Amino acid sequence: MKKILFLAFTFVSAFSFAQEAEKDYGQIHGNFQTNAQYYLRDTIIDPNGTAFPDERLLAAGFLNLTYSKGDFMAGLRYENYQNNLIGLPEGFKGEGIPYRFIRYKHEGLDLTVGNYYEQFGSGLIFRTYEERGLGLDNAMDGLRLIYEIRPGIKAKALVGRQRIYFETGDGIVRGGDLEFNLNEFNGNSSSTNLIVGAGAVSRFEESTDPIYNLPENVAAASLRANFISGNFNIFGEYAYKSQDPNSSNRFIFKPGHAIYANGSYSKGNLGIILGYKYYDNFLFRSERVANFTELLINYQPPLAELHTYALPALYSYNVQANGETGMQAEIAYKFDKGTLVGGRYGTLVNLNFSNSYALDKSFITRPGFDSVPTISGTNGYEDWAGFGDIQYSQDFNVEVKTKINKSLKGTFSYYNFIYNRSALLDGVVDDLVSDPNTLEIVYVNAMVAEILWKIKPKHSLRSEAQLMLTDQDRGSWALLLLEYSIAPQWFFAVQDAYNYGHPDPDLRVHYPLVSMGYTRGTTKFQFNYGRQQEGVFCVGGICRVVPASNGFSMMITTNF
Amino acid sequence: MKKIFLSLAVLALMVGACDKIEEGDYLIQREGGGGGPIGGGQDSLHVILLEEFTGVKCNNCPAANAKAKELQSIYGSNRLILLGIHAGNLAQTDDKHPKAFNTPEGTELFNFFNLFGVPVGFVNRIDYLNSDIIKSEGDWGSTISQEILREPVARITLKEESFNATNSTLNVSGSVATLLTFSATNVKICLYLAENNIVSPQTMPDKSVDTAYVHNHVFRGSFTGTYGTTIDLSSGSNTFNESIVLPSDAVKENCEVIAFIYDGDSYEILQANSIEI
Amino acid sequence: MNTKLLKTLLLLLSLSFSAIAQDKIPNIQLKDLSGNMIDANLLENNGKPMIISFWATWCKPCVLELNAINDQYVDWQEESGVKLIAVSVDDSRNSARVKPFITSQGWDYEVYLDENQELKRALNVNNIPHTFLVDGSGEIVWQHNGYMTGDEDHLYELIEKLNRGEEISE
Repeated sequence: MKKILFLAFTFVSAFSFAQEAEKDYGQIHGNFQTNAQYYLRDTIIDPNGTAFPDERLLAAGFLNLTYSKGDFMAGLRYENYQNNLIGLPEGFKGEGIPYRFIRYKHEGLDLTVGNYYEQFGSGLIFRTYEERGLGLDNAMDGLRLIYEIRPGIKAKALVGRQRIYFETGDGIVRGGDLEFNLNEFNGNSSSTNLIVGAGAVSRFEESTDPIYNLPENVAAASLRANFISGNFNIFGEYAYKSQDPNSSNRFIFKPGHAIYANGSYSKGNLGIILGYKYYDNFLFRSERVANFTELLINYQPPLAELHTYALPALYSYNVQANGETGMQAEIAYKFDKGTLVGGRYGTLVNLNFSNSYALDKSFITRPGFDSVPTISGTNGYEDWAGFGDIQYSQDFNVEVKTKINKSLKGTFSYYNFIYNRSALLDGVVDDLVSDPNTLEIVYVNAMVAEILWKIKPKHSLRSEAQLMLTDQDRGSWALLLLEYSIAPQWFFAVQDAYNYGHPDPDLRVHYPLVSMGYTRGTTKFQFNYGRQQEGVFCVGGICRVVPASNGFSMMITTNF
Repeated sequence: MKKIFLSLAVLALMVGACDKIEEGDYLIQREGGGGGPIGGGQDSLHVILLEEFTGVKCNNCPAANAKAKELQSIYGSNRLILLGIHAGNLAQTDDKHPKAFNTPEGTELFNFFNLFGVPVGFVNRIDYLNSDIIKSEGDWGSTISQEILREPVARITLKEESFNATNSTLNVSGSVATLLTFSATNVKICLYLAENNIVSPQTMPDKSVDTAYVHNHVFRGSFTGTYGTTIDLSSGSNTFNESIVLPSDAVKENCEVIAFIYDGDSYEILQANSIEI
Repeated sequence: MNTKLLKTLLLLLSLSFSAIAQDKIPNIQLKDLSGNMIDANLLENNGKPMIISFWATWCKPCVLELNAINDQYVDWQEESGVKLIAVSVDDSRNSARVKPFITSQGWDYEVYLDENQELKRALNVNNIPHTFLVDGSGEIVWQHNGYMTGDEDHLYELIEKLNRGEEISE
């Protein structure tokens, strides 16, 4: 507690000085956010009351402060969970300052002491970041040095341990990265450029496991290249991870491989992207037995479109921890105004396709306890397995964006999903599937029409009509949203999601939600009241259900 | 140029900083080949209680249970006592699972220690004060391997006194004697009832339901309430005598009684013992 | 105890910040679409105002805002000399989509990538869209979180104000 006060006063006094004198004593900035929810008991969506918190009112918030002066920067974040909202990790509990740093940046040198976020290449071997919506924060706590050896050649070195809730994990993480940038090396900024990089990360964690002889030092390394020439952009990264038996891969000893590559072409009205991913046993954490989103050292890009409309987002894709492979292709084209498709104002059409499969693993087993066969304590399966029989997902969607007249804009989209519910939501891992036909696959067709009507200056009405059809899982849904906004301060919205096709007639219910928001300068208030449908959050072999809830919620966010 | 080579050398070192385990050495070899019980009798040893939270609808639980049994085969049932506590929303009955084995005491523990999913476990309920009491399956082995090295601080004896078949009442007595290493002041004793060899449906890893699944070490209730009763050990020893009414569907011959003492401030289990009835 | 502490902290802070004026863009590196690294504090527009807008390809209101501005961008540029810098916070999941995305949208903005959200964090941006208005001397004079249809008109009023040499006090 004293620490908090001390830090706060250091900041404040440093700043108070700044106002008294003309001299530059630096600047201080920050942001603040708080979310609170009051839960109401809803016997229809939650008959047993399992998702009804004892606390009734839950609140979580944070305050960030950053002080900067010349080459120096320092910051901290105070976090407060009384207790964390339902559906977010319950490990975030209580209050404290889990994040603080001092950074010095001068010419080619950049040194950070304390907490920091960093990424090597696409993140395949190392990425620490913060994603509040997921309750993810794997910030490093330690030292980082970034040094520009000469223009075009940059080296990074770091060491530390990662954040887990209000503590740091047991594993020590060490990393280094070297990047070469041709344009910077040559001192020009031509539109043709080559960037190559190499990185390595290793983790040390003690082992006293009585069953397995676990490696205490595990390393991952990657090579990457990015070639950019005019309209073309090609990126590829290959990464390797040494033996890392852990609870997510069920203690298998084979090394990991990962490939992430994409190429794009963009010219005039046309944009094309092709992507490929291959992730084999590549989940990397700084503690072997961490769960969910805890202590992730690396990031495996999902290579699937992120959907934000409420109904299609119910079937969002997440990367499968025990390996997957897939591709993505996307074409975007803007039809000029005056053409048949383009109409009077021009029309943008976007087509996106992506899929994901399990790897084709031939499992190696050993007779485990009671002679029950297990893959734990073996290589698991052979290296470089191909596309497997189990499909995790397929996503095909089309979006058409057009302006209908001076005051009307429309976005129309269609989605077709194949979604492996057993793997993606229930966490059935592929080495346990004896017959792929027993998996529960959800086939979804969905469409969304969004119309924006600019009624008069500053007044507008936005509406969304969504329909999602499926015979599996929770059945079909319809959703209607109306949002009236008066710029720049007010908005009012009503929404109703109706799960009319639920196989259980008792659960064919409406999820009405009303909300309003008020913005003043950089401060924003938002209030919601109503029912929220259930979602599911899965990582690794274990899943967490974000239960349906009913109640009143509030969010305040500000920055200064 | 020198600096670049230096950086590359550092990177190479980093890649080199990994341990290579040869294929024949993945498993730790135990003397006698099979990995039988190690160590001696209860009198001189620190005994560990692994409380495994589980559920009949939890597909990841059978693997965790196998892990617990494997650990018991390594350390011996005289050193490692298992208790399967069915609790949480995966320990509820439905059409496919007529029995769920949840108990008021188990639910109370589940809520009190802020559990949010199964399978997880407690190893002697250590690390409560530093918020690390919940151990996932992969962590059990290493935690037990450390905990088992500790010196014993007390000795518990247990004896079945009587069983009244008409009202299914089981009476158990015993004693607790502290050793020189004992230092706790606020001590509680708990007696739990567990049952073995229950055949009842369980959801398996591939989400199928195994109707012939054999449940062992199932927590059926407490003699002493969820948190036990205070026992005064200031004189160095004390005795206890407790009774329980067996659940109506329990088979007496399959039951065992687990007794343990714990530090009322840290919740840490100091010593444990069990007997079959 | 803690709520009290937090309140005190906030009070102290709000007192101290009320008169702040010296706001520059921090010294953080951004990547342009050809992979060149650019120091964010060196972004400039020849003494004319500059808009810095944080967005992502998956963020619907961001795209709405940038499209709304794009409809009038030619006029804005001619009349006020303003320049818009669009900073994408797409991570490696989507950063490859940024260039084809803006090309097909037909945006004429200067676009940079902030792949691990370093600049976003340094500027204390909570959620996107978040827009900053920077005056000719490189000082941040206004910022706004969120987007509603019509916000762009307000933004342009502020730009005109800046060009007339008036203070912005919001």
